[in-house]
Amino acid sequence: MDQQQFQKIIDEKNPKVPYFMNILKAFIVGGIICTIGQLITFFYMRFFPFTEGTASNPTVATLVFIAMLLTGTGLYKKIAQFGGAGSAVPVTGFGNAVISAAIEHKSEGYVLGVGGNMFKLAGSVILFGVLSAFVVALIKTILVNIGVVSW
Amino acid sequence: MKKSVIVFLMVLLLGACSNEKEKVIFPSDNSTSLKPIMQKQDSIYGYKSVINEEDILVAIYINRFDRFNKTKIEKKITKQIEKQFPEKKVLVTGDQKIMWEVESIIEKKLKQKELKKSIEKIKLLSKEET
Repeated sequence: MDQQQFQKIIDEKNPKVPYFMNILKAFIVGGIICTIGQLITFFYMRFFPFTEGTASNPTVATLVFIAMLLTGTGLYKKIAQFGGAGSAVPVTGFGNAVISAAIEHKSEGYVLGVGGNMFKLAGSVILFGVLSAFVVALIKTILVNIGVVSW
Repeated sequence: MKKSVIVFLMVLLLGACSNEKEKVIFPSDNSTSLKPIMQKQDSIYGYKSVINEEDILVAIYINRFDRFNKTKIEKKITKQIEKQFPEKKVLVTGDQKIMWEVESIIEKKLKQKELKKSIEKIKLLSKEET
């Protein structure tokens, strides 16, 4: 039996991946999360002095916080099982990555377990964001000081 | 469960159908030279504007697909209005928050002094970047 025959048998035996259903579910779940985010944006714009441009910051914080609460109570796992990528791609997936790692390592103690492993998954995201923001701000500051562009 | 989802989607669908927006200039007595400028813009479908001695605030409803060029449209309209009113400070924006603030001014029919105060507040708000 060579490689190709083996692959053929695997293809026959494996259950078919329901790509279309997965995409549809991810679309619906991701869309619902984004709709909730839009509602929170409107809430902040209505009752606080935020404009369309500035309301996105508290919205992101709120969404991450809600996702963290849902992860702690185990509800987010059910949403993720149904929605797949639809629940991981929005910013709520970030909150989930932080808290689920913290829960996983809780048995190793609070400092070495929770503290040391909390940012195992999401730490690279934070680091990349902070570093790239720093570099871009540095370049812009230099360009403004030279006089090429204005703020 | 299924029924409630269908009802929810129906509400969303029907809610999206009513986007008739009005064109308002407040106070309406000195709207004569602003109106023709706003009328010939084809990338907006409505506007609400507040005028006093120093400032002109215009909140615009931009067409759905023209929102990609939001800053460009704002700049274009600002330039045209500034040409017409060289002595006034002009602020044109498609921001929803400012639209709501302008609406509340029009609804309350503020008098000169309060009007100036709230216009200052809106201008500060539009400068906010954090």
